[in-house]
Amino acid sequence: MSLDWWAATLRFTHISASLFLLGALAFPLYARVDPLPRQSINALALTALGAGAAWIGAMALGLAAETPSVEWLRALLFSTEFGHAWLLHLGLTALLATLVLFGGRGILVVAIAGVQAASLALFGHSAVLEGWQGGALIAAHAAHVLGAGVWMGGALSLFVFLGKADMAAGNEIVRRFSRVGYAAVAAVALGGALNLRLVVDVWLPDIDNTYGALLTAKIALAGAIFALAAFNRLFASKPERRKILMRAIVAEHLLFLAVVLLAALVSAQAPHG
Amino acid sequence: MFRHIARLAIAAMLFAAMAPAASAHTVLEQSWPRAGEAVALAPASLRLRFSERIELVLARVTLISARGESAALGEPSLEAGNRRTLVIPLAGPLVSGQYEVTWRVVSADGHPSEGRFRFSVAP
Repeated sequence: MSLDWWAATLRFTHISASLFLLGALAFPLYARVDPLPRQSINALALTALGAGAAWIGAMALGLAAETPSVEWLRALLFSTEFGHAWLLHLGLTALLATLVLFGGRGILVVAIAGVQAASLALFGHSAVLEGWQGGALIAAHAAHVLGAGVWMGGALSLFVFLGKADMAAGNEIVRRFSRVGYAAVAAVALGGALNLRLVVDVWLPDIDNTYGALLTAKIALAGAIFALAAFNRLFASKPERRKILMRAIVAEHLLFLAVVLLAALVSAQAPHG
Repeated sequence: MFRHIARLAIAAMLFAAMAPAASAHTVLEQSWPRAGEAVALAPASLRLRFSERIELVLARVTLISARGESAALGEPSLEAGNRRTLVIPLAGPLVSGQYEVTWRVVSADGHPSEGRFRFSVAP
């Protein structure tokens, strides 16, 4: 497997774990229940940290024009814009993992998880513009990522809760999740659309190149997740359809992982290449 | 809540419609001497303008003559107030002949790009 494939695999693992972690940590704040076992939260935090460190290492190796030296690595990390962003992101991931492993929960830990996820916007395609347009692109990407994390990580916690809750408690938590879900879905859709417009200057990608084809597939899968979410809200959220709702949440998660995988592949492609 | 989301969406879309887009991974937009150009006077420096901001510490440029000899280059720098243009002074005068410039840069977002072009000195 080439270094690019390793980087894409590690990016996929890191982003998936980070976003699930954010949503799972935020869920108790609005749902007022904490169904995910501590071991699962710890595993997400450790996966995010391990895959994140390895991903940044793979990206650094991919930039080496000659045999990497300590001096070169120091210049890469401390004298470049993206090096600073890598260090910030990795530092936040390490801080978050440490807090989570020591049992940290609550609004401060969720805020750190949010900043950690949002800091993904500081490197890659979203960091390419300058001035106020650059700030807008980073904000759009951050909103996209935060919405995805709160939505999908929350849906994971909801799934676990529904598996063991009685009917009345389940209905109340579904209602609380749905309220937050609207805002999260809006952030994903709006942030994604702005991102697309600002990076490739179109509202719909061109499928004639690899970047556009991958992005089109990503948007199509995201559309399927939106459709499933609407189906859940309008049809499957009725108490007597609990099993259908749980199956639909599993389907949403599988689609979400496919979307993150495509996002990991898109990041290595040139927007018009 | 839907009304707030709809207002936010309209404002964001209007804003995005007005904003310029990023073009691509970094490409060489212009160089001095230009690609394929025959200059009468040997240049004192090479100037390479890219489509995105680049990281100076990771920029690599070589200049090879048609006979395969490397021309000595000075320390590269960025043009004042412009992180897209790389300036590479030549350590000595170039003799007549064809030259090939090979460049490799990393843009500020962390994506590498590379390329090459030729020019000739023909007094």
